[in-house]
Amino acid sequence: MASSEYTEVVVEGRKVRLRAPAAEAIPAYGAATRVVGTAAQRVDALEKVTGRAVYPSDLRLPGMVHARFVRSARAHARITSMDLSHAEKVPGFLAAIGPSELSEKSLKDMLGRELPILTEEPKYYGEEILAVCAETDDAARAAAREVRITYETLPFSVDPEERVRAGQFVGGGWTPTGPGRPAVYERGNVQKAMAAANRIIERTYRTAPNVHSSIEPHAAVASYEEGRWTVWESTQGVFAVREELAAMLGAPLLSVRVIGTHMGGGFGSKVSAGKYTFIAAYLAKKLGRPVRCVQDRSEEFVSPYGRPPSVVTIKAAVRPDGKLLAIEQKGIHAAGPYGFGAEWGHAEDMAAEMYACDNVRTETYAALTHTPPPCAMRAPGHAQAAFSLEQMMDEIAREIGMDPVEFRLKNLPARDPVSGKPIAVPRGSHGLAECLKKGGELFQWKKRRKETRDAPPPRFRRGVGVAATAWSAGGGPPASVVIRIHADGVAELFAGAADIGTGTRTALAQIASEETGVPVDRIRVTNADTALTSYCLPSYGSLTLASTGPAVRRAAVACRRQLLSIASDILEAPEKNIVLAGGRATRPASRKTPESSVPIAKLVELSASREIVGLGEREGNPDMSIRSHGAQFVAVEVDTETGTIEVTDLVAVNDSGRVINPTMFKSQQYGGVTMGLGMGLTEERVYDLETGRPLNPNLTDYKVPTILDQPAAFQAVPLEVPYDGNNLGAKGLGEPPIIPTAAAVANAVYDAIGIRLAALPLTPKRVIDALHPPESKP
Amino acid sequence: MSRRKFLAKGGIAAMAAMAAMASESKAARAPKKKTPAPPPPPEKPPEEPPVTLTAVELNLTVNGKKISRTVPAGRTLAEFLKEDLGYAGVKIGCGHAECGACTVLVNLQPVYSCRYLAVLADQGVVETIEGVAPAGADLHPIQKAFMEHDALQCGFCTPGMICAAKSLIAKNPKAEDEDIREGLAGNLCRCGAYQNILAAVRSVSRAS
Repeated sequence: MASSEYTEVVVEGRKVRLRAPAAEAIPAYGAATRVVGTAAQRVDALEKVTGRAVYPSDLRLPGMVHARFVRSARAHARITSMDLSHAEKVPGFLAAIGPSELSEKSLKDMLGRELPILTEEPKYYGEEILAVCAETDDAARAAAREVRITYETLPFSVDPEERVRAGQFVGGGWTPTGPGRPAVYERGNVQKAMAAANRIIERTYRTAPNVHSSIEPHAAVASYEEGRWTVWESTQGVFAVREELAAMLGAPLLSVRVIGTHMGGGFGSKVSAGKYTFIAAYLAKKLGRPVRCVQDRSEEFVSPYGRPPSVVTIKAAVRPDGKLLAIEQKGIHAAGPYGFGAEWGHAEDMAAEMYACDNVRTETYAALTHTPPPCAMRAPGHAQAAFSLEQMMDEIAREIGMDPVEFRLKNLPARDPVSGKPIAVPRGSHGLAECLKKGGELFQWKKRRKETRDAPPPRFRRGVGVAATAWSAGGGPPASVVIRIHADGVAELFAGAADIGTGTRTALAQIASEETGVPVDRIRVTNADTALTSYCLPSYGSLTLASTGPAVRRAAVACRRQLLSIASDILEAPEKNIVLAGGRATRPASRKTPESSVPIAKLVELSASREIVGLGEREGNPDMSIRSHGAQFVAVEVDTETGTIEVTDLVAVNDSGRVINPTMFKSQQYGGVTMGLGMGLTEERVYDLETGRPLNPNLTDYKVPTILDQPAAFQAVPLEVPYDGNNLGAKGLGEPPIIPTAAAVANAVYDAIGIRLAALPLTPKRVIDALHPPESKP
Repeated sequence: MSRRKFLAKGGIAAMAAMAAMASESKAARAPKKKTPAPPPPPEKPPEEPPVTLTAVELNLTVNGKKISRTVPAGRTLAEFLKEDLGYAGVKIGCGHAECGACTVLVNLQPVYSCRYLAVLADQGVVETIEGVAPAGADLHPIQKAFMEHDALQCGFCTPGMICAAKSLIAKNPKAEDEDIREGLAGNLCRCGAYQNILAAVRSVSRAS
């Protein structure tokens, strides 16, 4: 496959075409791999099960002090006075920072929109007004409580639809528009196609505001010595934090070192430097002492994080034979008061990309609500969009009397409908078709569908549903990796990528082991430290393995060549006859000579440099649409008296190309689906419309799934559809498993009770209200 | 100052409630050998400050080590273990007894240490993740099972999860799936490793 040879960039207003660096092709893996594809144990499992893994929030440094925020108690207000006199009297009080001191400082989102760090005019409940610092965390909390603030309350609205009606919106999505203009995407002629069609279906769907709820809250510890900061941050991307923090501090990149070896979950919310990061670093310099700034759980619910709610009206036209003719979608999502992070709420991409359809029009409104600015949350946009699109697919299929699986298969695109690029589908297979077929077989879709359709309606009604996903997950540059093999045969692998729980370190060690022959347990992975590793993007967008993995293989191949050259001389055999495995270079026995081997440690010792070093960089991607695919099949039991939905069976099939570690692949599937079940059934940040306060800022009332909420029968199935767009043949997987879950459950609920639930989460109350509409109650 | 003396002097509702909770939790657990009474207080030096409600003496065993410390009465067990004794394996996820990351064992009972006063563990045996392995062993069978079944992802909930699992297996060595689910329902794993956690604990249970 040809790599895209040029990247177009703008330099001083001039368009320049940059050539991709020439990279020698690395052949695809042969038929058999020794380490890649095996269920190697997580390399950091021992640290994690013994409590030896220290996370940023665990860090206690000598002389460390504690910072806490004072947050707005109004959803929109002007501050008329701030009295710090009581706070200053709290024993241990050290400092307070107010908005005027930081008036020039702000966070910036991916489109350059700004969010103040501290503000005198809070625009959502909980917005940061002041930061205080004290000797102990208790004292910092006490000081924060003792700050007396008076407000002039201003009008506010937490309702996105109301804000759009009032003209308070910007365009959502990746193309910023000015205020008052939606983002519009269009191809073909939707109006004409709709006019000519005889079957049109329209429905409005609502998704709820979700909160990431990583078990480790947002946390940073910063120290400042001799003009340099060291920041331990619970983050998905140390380099992103370094860049953003250095810019905010007005300091050179190298004056900031960010370390993020262990981190307790992010799911999109720990991609950038936070306000807490800046405050810790700023105070560390100001006070000359290490500063810890960690958020409380309740703060996690009012900080600029979370999946924004959406209201999507989707309309589709279909031919009686099942060909999709047109899709029209109007999407509204909350974007907070600043439009900061508005791109994370967009639900238009999936409707435009997922299926072959010549006429598509989407309009996206990012409503300027008085709620915390949104943020990427596992499959941002797609998870919301799938709830409407995949229910619409189900509804249409029923309407025309076609099996929903067949209907999807009939509308699979061969090219990306938006970019026009071919979808990487080798050997005539299509990842989504394979997932749907495999999942259908394992679930016994056809048989069970008939069973539920023919069953009489008792109190507990059963139903089955399916939904599908596609997610761009090809990864790509930048990613550079260094591998050093030392004279004792131990290899060090330096990669910038954070391991956010997905098993990145383990997968990278497996890839390195495959080429070098150094066993996985002799590979030490040093990652996510800007002083020790090379640049890479944050671990987000399902890009880490497919970005850093191929760079690791390239670095490992560079080591391999050096090892083989020495081994060839020692073992008196051509390089191609030597096997590197199990920590040794081995020449297998031939008819004339017995097997002979030499430890890798010896090869390193004998090398001219006494250390084997390999550098690997990620090559470009083929000029194609690279997608990970997935399908989920679900069976539910709906209690028509209590409204409870129980997911009894779930089969998740995912194609992400080559599976590096089947155990961890399944772990991602289980985890994503579980979060999808939370989104589908229980999770909602509820606002009080009178005050704009979140009513459930805690993990008792904001219900993330527990072990009791797992389906009784839960199957995660990796499906390897061959892909050759990078030297591993692997694509990403972090996001795809969450995308179709809520829609698959809703489709199954429809199958069970014959009512389409169009608002998340699918709570018992919604089920009961649907079965017994309030107006029909006596 | 001994705890008895402290309680005797502090005839205040809050302390009474605390004492009631302490005796309740003692009543609930299996009868154990009585811990020897702490040594009598040393001769009272004339300059000793007046007794207040702000400090309490603790005598307890943490991860096999006998510990005697004076702590503020409001000190939570999590603060005592994490801040005073330096056990980083005690994780703080919510501070409100909701997520279970701070779960440690007090006399083999799992407690949310972030909302459990250190004084309630007086005379007790406390285990954090750092101390769950049996004496002389590197790892507890549940720790090994978590590694083998990939029962963790980011790992932040893992110490609490393993403590809760150890307690449930100790109490019910033949725990079935439903017992395991019930026993771990108070520990949240946002990465969603539940399937593998279930498999790991099941592999240690002698059921089936």
